[in-house]
Amino acid sequence: MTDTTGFALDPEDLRSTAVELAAAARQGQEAVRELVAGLRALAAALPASRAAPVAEALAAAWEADGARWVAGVLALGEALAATATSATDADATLARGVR
Amino acid sequence: MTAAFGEASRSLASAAATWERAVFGPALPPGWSGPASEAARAQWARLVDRGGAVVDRARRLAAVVADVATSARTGPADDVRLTAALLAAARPAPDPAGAPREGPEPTAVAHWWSGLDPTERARLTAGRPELVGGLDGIPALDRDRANRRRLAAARAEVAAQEVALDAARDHATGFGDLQDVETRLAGVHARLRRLDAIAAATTASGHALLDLDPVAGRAAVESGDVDHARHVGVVVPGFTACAEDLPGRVAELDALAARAGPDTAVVAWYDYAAPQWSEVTDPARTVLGTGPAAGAADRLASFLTGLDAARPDGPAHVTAIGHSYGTLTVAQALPAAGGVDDVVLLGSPGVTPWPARRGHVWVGEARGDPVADTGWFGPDPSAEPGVRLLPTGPRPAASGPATAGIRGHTGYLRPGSTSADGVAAVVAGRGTDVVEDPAVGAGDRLRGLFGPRPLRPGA
Repeated sequence: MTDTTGFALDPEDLRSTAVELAAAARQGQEAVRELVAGLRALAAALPASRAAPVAEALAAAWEADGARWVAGVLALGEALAATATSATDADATLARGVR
Repeated sequence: MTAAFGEASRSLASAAATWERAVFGPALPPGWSGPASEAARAQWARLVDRGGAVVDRARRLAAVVADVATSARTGPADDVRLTAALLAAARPAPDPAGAPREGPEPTAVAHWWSGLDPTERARLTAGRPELVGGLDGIPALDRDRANRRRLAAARAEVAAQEVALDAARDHATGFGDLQDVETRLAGVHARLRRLDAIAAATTASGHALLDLDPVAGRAAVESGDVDHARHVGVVVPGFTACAEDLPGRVAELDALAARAGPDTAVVAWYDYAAPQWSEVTDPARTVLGTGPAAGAADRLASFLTGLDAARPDGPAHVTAIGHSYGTLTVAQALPAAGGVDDVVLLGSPGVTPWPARRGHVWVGEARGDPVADTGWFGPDPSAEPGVRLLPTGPRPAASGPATAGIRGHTGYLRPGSTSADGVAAVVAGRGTDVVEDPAVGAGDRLRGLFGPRPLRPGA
């Protein structure tokens, strides 16, 4: 059953969460770069090993995974920002009371 | 060479720390609810799961690389070790903290949990209570700790909503606003009642909160110690069951466990959306259809399987007990449930499929129970070959105390009744003590005269 007890908060809360998510996406992007660099450094340090190609493959996989994660976080942040904008008018009366 | 490993290790560890901040930093507004909030929270939970899994794997890999970096020179053994660590990191991540996800096997969960050190377990219980509290295969004590945290947090959140809506009511402009706020307040009050009932059912010592859905207000409450008791019974309720029933039902189960003996635990499994009066006309949710039972089957099967998986000292003797529509829920779960030894069907409107536990299916049918005579979801259980008939009439004192007979549909587990006494004996593995009752109700006799009932779903 769907719980229908909800009410909208101040749209500012949603906007600030959207900003947090955008920052998280940037951090995630930075983390992916570091991860991939670390794995490629590892592969370079083991030129004739079994580990090297595995490290290269993992770097490629995490680069793709990371890009998808970042895209997902950005999309969610944008959705929240849009919700905040649309909620401003519809929920203005209630939000004033809730605050 | 080792300097290059050191650099790689630092890079991986630093990346993991940055990932962790990115993944676990943001939080959606706690007081925001409703359909948009639910969708956003589900999406964020998926992202946290995916991102968290990378954090965990990167940390483990960094630790191995750092260890290799401390060697004076790398050799073939290090190559093997690094390859293994890289392959492990490349494997599809089971969960944010290494636990399997997407309906994980309770045995896999138990294996994972037992491999964590106490600090890791405590960190997860505090930081990810929704994960720990909801995974079948984790011991009851840990799930209880996690679920109590969740319950307290949910209670606080809903109480805050109540305060905010009370204020909103004071400032409402116009009838429409007021009506809207009142509707939401009613929902908030209903949710509070459910959460308070769950809290009340778990207040006394010896009770644990084994599962919790804080939004829907559903829970599984244990009386006893399911991880160590030799005998465990799981009671699945039927039509109209809801969290508000839990305190009364848990009190009944306390008496049942006491009657069964000291090495017994009983669970009130109110962790599914039992059909309600308001849903009778909803084809997917009506009590006249199999939808609610089928929807709960996987969840119940996992819970039942997890009972044995979580135990440190081997499997328990497990009895699945259904009442009314709950008998159908039990029957639908059994094909996928491991470790169920006995099945008790009380006031059953028939079940599909029939439990494949020949000689271990017990049926209770009280006089004047109209539901037990419907045969709605399958043949009348009391007429199935091989079933064992639990007595429900009055029993005078003989080798044990006198017990009361029951009539109608709702008293099967009433303390002091012959019926509850029989169920307690089955739960305790003393089925041979049960004096079976060959008598059947008036409905059965009538059916004998007029033939079997042909009307049932799918018939």
